[in-house]
Amino acid sequence: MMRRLWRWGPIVVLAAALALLQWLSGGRVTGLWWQTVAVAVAVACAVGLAPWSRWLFRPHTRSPWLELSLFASLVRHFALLLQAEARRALLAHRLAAPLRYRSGWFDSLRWLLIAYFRRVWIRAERMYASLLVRL
Amino acid sequence: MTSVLEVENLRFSFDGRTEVIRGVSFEVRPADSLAILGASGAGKSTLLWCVLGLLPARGTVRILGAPRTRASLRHVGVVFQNPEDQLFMPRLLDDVALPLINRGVEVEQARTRALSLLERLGLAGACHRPASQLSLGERKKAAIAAALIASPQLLLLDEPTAELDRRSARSLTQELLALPMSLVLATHDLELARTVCRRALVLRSGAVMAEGTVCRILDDPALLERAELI
Repeated sequence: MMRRLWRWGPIVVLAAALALLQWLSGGRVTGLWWQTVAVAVAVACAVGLAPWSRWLFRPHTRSPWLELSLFASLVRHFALLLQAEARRALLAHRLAAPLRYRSGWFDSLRWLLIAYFRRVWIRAERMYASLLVRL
Repeated sequence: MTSVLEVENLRFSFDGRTEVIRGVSFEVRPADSLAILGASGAGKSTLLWCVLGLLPARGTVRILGAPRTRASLRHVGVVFQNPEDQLFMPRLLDDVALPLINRGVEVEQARTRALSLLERLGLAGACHRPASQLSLGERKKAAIAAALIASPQLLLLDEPTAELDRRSARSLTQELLALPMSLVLATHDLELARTVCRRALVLRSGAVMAEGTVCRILDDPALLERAELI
């Protein structure tokens, strides 16, 4: 349960940061923060509850929905790649620099982020190449 | 003598229903070496992740006699199947020195120790290059160096010779033989297991099928056949 709640941490931080920036700039704190949370909740519900895999692979080759379906499955596949790469990168960092916020922790995190984007770029290139070969 | 690693009745399932690790127990004593053998999909890597606490398994894991915690995990070095995952700094030297720097050792002192370790592994010439420019065999050795630098008492290696050519695999095997600490190798490379390890544990569908000395296990072709290792 706690693990699931922790997943909402970044969204809560983002919403709080948006409200803080509005407040710091001297303007009115609008409803942007709760709208951010509401959109995240709505997207999470849509992703979790809808039978995406059934919908995505249903369109026939002559269906006008085919391209949309292919695009959606491509986005889904790439999102899963990003997730897997992020998990591996964070795991490697945790093992290499186990003492949080100590010497070398922030610097290595910066390099980890650069390495992460480089690897994601390579994975995207490979995916694009495989599509070119298959389509 | 306190065990370096004790695993008792470890169970894990990805979906909460089908168990992929089913009541695994084993022990690793100081300076001992254990090969976890099994065909692809037998649960070797998953078992290692569970031992490290990276997957939320049920059961008991004790490191050096104490329950597994963040602190006790500092005595454990890990080498992933894909060394690219572990090497992300701009220079190999920084990759290897990072665990020491993080533990509070002076940067220059950490780099000197990292360089001497890389020299021992024959990688001193590549120390100023990023790991991405090295061959797979060199990257595997570099990942071992990064795991060894903090002098762990236990080293866990996931498929160390996977995807390596015979020459690189032989070179890596020689390096593993020279290591003084306890070793746990998850592999389906029977030759590596016979050369490096004293004991073996055979996994099939996430459960222990057999355990004993490497010679006894590897000289039983019927067992290896049942475990889909030959």
